[in-house]
Amino acid sequence: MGLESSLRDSVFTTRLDAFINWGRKNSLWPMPFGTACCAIEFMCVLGPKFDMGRFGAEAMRFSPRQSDMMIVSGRVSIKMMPVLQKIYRQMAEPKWVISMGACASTGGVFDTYSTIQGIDRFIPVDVYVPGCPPRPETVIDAVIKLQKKIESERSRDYR
Amino acid sequence: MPLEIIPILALLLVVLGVVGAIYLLTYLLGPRRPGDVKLSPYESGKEPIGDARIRFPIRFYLIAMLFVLFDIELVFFYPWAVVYRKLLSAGSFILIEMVIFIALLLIGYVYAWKRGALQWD
Repeated sequence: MGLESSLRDSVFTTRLDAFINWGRKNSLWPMPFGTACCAIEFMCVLGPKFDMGRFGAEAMRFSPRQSDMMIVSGRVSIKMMPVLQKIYRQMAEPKWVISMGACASTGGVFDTYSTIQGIDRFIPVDVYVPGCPPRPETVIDAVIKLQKKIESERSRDYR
Repeated sequence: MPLEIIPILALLLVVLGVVGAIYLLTYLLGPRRPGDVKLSPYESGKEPIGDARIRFPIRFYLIAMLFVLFDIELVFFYPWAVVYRKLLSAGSFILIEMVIFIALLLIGYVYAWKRGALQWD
């Protein structure tokens, strides 16, 4: 990447990291990948009662080009995995993934041959959200956790 | 040069400066990792089939044009319907005007119909 690679670890770049991370964590644009009932639950996270917009993550974009936080909500079947993987790879860096609910994180009750037993076998996941489905507060808590994680990142560390 | 234009010029400079700064910052700080998959067209995660620039019947344009025409007609109906009852007590002018308006567009509609503009095959 541009500036950091030429400047190494100086005070300037560490302060710059803090500044960049501040911008990144407060303007997460979610890319919803809703395949099941968790997506229904996720809808009200953006609604007026819970309002993820308070944390700067209300700008939903249904295009991987414009979003940087993928929220996988729902079980993912083997047939669906290439689609999820492709969309993840089409997202521009920096990008983060929230695995919402038991099914996306572990396969949940769908202990079958056709359901992926956790999406982290195929794409990297930053925050796991427990619950079946998780309460909206839990999702907001996950976003806050992700923001804390972004805070500690160095801008050259992104995947 | 009139003095009133100075604020506009200042605004123009600020806008150009901010936009230029944002472009420069994203160029310097934004990571770019292009690749085959990333640069491929977004088709909701599916493999793209064929080209996006396909040929389709020219009738679509005609239908679209007619739609815009009669859509605008409908837009005129709404304010008319809102004040209709109030203005009718002052005379039947509002009714006659609208009938003339509808009649004009109805002639166009009948003409389009007769010429086969609504015929798909």
